[in-house]
Amino acid sequence: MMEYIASVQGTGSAATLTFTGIPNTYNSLVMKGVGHTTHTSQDLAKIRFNSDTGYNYVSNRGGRDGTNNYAFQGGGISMAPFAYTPSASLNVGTMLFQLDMNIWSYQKASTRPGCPSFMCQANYRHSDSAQIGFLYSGWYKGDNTVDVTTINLIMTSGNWGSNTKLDLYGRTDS
Amino acid sequence: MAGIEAGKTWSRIGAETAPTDSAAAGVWGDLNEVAENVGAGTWPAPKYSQYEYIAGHTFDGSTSSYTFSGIPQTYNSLRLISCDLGQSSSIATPRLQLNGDTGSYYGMCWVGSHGGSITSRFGGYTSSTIYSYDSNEASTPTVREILLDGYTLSSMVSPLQLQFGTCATSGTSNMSANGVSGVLLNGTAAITSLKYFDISGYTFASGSTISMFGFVTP
Repeated sequence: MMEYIASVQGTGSAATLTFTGIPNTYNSLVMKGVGHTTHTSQDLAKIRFNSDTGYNYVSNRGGRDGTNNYAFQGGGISMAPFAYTPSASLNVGTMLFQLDMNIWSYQKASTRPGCPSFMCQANYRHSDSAQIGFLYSGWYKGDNTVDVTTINLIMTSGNWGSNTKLDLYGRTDS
Repeated sequence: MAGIEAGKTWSRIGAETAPTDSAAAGVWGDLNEVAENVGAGTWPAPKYSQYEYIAGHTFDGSTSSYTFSGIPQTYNSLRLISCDLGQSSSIATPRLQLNGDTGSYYGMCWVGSHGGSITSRFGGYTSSTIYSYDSNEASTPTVREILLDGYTLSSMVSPLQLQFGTCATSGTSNMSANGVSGVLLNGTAAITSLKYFDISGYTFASGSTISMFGFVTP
């Protein structure tokens, strides 16, 4: 069972969307929805926990872009990618990416051992001849003596478009 | 569970002020008063989010397609689950089309493995359908999950996700796990219909099912 927590909505003028006051009572979190950028070219959406801007994130992503396979990883980065947005040739103003993300171990380590982590799939059209299907995973290795109560969603180059809507849920039974 | 007891912390529930002839305001007399409040529409909405069944179909072995039409536009997102039973003579290749569009406007990217080999293919493909396939073993299931977020937006192009796995009972060559990203690139209309069909006309085996669910958010 999932319990609705909150939503964030893009406005076209903000590069960061933030969930705050996340209760520490759930087994895990789920974030669902769609997003897009105001940038005029391909953009990359990234996530932070508890607004920590330190180099405390590890990321891995890979999949298919057109006819090519790709895999990327990064350690000691200041935020973790979780979605691409389309390039200009596909009209970034009307193309959404779709997101289904699971977030585990978001409570402090004394409550739930391990560091906060996520995994998601985000899809969109990359260009006239290429569709992207990528899987993303990431870990937060910063201060795990406190619960994650804030999640920041950051668009790297542009702002979150006005049709962006991402919902956060808490799982009560898994 | 006991009700109000001496020394126990308590609070009012709901906004209604109970009858006050001889009772304390805000205290619920019995469940009928709670029901009265619910009936008046003043009770808070349920806080749980879950998938709600919309429609489904069980194939009888004689047809090769099923279309969900008039999809309600009231849900946060859609989820479809299908379970096809393989046929011994051929590999069915179930496809998807949206909004009745049969043109070559579908973009698709496919990653996965089949029988121990990587099957990253069809990336960048533009086709008249979104692909998948079934096991070719009789009575052996292929399970599919299709997710559509943002399907109600009429000003945006909304991709879908499809994951599916095929099973095998006589070895591993037909086992597979696949993830597909698909999108209809012909305009930005909201998605109101979804056709699930075999492009070669193979019939879905009797007992194969497909169901559509809508995600309810308070």
